[in-house]
Amino acid sequence: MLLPASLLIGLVSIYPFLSGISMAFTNYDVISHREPSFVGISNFLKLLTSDKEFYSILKYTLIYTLSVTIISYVVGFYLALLLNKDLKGRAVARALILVVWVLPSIVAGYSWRWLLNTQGLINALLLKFQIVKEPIGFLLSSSAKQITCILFGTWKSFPFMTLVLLAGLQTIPRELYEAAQMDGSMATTSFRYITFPLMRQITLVSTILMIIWTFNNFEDVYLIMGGYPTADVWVLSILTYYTAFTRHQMSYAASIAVFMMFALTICMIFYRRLVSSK
Amino acid sequence: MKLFRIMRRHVNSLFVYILLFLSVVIILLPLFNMLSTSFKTEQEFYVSLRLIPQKPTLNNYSVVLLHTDYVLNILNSLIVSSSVTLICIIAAGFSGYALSRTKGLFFRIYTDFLLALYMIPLVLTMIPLFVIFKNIGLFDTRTAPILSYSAGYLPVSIWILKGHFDSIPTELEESAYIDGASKFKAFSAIIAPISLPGIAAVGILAFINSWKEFLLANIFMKRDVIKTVTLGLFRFVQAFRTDYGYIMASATLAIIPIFVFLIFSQKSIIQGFTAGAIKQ
Repeated sequence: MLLPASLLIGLVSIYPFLSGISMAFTNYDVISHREPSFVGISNFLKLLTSDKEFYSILKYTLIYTLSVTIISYVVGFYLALLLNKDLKGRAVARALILVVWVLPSIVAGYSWRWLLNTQGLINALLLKFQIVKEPIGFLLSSSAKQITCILFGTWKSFPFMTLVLLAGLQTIPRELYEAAQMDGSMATTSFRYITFPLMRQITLVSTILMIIWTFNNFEDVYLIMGGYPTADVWVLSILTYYTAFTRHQMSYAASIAVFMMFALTICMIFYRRLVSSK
Repeated sequence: MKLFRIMRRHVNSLFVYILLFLSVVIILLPLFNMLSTSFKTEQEFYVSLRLIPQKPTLNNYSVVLLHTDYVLNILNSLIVSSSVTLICIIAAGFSGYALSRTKGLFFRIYTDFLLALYMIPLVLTMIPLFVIFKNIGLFDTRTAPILSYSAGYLPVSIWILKGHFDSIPTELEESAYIDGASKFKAFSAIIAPISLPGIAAVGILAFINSWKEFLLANIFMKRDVIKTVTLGLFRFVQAFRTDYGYIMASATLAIIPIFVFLIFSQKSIIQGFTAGAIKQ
């Protein structure tokens, strides 16, 4: 009974995965049409020692991943707390938050690009309320673009966080809060001693998932930059893409991707150790 | 004193309402903007930035639907997403059931292994898949993304359905076996109908995720005639550089099907994607 699914996963996921790993150890180059030969770890050595571009992209990828994860966690928790109360519009609000997740990145990306344009709605509002004197170039300067990517990534990710954290909050029995209130604790204290500790498991799982997805993410950054991301906002997945399909260095691209996976696995191990030792 | 407390509670609630409302507005600004732009004429688009168009027009939609082959893109997306959904439901149904009902170390390892697949970056498998598909002649077909997506969503689907099956007591099948039913019959006639919520969740998730996917579709589909809606939109953006009315109209069209799903099956979707995170 397991066979059909296993076959499909095996052929389309695992075989290419292994093939990709092995590709990283060759010098496969589609253009030159020569037979790829085994080159050992030279791709990795080149990547880690003589590739300046790689390190700056790695740095940005880490900043991007951590920022998106942390901000979406905080915002998600905040919204989950809001939604956990018995308010009238709760179901509607939940549905609307889900809308953000359902939107394809291409739709969301272009929509936001239009809004963030120097002549777009957001700048128009900022100017109108005189919050700024000149329009902000969200999509123009290097650091502005980097921040915009992070914010867009957060916007796309927070529905997941919100809904998962909300589901977790809903498993906490009301009696705990009532008992705490009778003992005279205020909202902030009960949060610190009841809510947060009980949410540890969910926090761990959701942040791990978010880190994995954000680190591997391609579409969000690519599309908020309109399909033409400049090098200052490249994340590792975009570097892999361009290395493989524009620079035609398949093996080198594979080695970048293998590195990504390796780095993630190590991070996961450390992260798990860190949290469980508490 | 008591009055003060009551008042404070009301102000608190009001404050929360306002906060929630503001959050929702900020969150949905792009959506509103998209909708409103799609109904604007070109002149109005350049002149004003108001959210509600003064002279709404359906011109953008008619141009996109009648004078381009966008409908083809929508059709392609339907074909791809439905195929993936079907494959996922059937394959994950069988696998989830097998993993749920069979004991043994192998199966436990297999289940954990499925979750580990999450960590493989898509960009890693996309390179060899590109080469493999080219070699076996599946490149530039709809089959390539269908296979890729199915393989990608199967682990989560299996995980969700296994969870569902785990919660169904085995007595149900056992009473069916006593009555002489085969394993397969027990599954299809008894278990499957009860698991409809889980199956629906898996199906909807697979459909939505396939619909909105961009990267693999962009790599594997080059001919305009088989492109899905995400690629079609991408092409439009290059083509209609500044005619945002057309772009927004096509974007709105692109999200109608998943919106429909959203309206009818919110619970299933939430259940689907929190299932990976909450181990029950």
